[in-house]
Amino acid sequence: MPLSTKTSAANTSNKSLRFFTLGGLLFLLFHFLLTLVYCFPEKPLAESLRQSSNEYMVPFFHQGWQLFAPDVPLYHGRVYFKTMPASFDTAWVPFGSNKAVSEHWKLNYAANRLSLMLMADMKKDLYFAGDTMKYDLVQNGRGYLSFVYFAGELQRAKTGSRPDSIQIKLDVIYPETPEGAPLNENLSYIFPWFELK
Amino acid sequence: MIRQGDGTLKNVIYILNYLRSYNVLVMAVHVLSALIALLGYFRFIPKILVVITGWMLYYSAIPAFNSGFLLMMLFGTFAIFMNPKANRPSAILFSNLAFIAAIIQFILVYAVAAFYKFEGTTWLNGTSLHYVLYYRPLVNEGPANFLHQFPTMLKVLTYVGLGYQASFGLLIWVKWIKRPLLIVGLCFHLFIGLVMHLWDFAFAMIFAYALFIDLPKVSLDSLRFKKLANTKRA
Repeated sequence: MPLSTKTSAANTSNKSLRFFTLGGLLFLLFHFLLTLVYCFPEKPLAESLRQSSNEYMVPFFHQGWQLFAPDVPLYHGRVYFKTMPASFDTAWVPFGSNKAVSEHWKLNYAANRLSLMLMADMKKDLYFAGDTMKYDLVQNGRGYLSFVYFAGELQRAKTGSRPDSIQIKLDVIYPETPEGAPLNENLSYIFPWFELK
Repeated sequence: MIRQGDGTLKNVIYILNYLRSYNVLVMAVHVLSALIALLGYFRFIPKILVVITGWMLYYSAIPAFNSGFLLMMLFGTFAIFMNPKANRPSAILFSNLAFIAAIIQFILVYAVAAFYKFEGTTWLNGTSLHYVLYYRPLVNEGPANFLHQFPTMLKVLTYVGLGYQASFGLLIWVKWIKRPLLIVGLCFHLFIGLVMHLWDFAFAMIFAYALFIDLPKVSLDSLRFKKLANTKRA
């Protein structure tokens, strides 16, 4: 165990050790108070406290422990891309496990995290103009742009050059309820082409 | 909320976002420093390098990492001050404080996770595990279909998982419960590793249980003033 349990106080005055002990404990109190503030970003707290917590925690103590909370995801996204000029065999190339480029297991994980980000952006920024669904706000978001970058890099890894334009498709898949009924109808979104040059 | 900070050191942490070609070099320094730190050479420098390069890698590829890596990075930061061979009282004190910080941090992980879960509905109505098994980015269809044949078990396991996280911070201090509690946690995290393929997260949590092994030996000796005073008089 890394904990040292020695008790030698030789050459050090009891008073100064007591001072450092108290200081250390007070620092731990300060540290974990700010940690708690940081871990509950949506709780109503004084803005100055929130700001101090962010300043202190980022980058070295950044953390988040929602861990499938408050609810586990009730849908998941599958994201595909097409490139112009086309370099892959299939029309819609799935992100994630992509044997054409790499079988690294982290690719799948990263694609999933980015699809969550994209879906969160869509919840917020997708809108209708008349009967037409408008993607422009989503296309300026981090989720979408990350996928565009990702697609460009995948094509670069395969062909050595980036594509001229990229199109993204998102399928939203819903699970069945415990009673066996579909929770919702599956959805599919095809974004307009995104010009890289 | 992740935000780029001011100051040189903070900006060094984000440098790989702009200089991607240094990824491999930083990764090499990270792994090498970790090995040197594990071997116990050069007290502080390799540990500090592990932390700095680890955060550099994290911020350059956030979607590739999960909470397990964050937990390891936090432990890495506390470990800078941990020194099992410490002789000086101040070093012993810092080592013990770092150890206490790691324990509090770990308990906080479960406590915060449980707090958020009580705000949801699927954990409270026992359907969380049912829905997790439909989460295809992480769970394969084969094991999910098999486990879906046992809905009552899934419900019980959902409540066990919630109860475990909510009560860990209290029960871990009860001597006779500690061992079964850690065994339940071990199974819980192995399940996450096996079914959801989140092995890095599962191992991070399992390795962190080392903090609670031999708990009676975790005395706060450097915080015991009377004992220190007696030692000095003797």
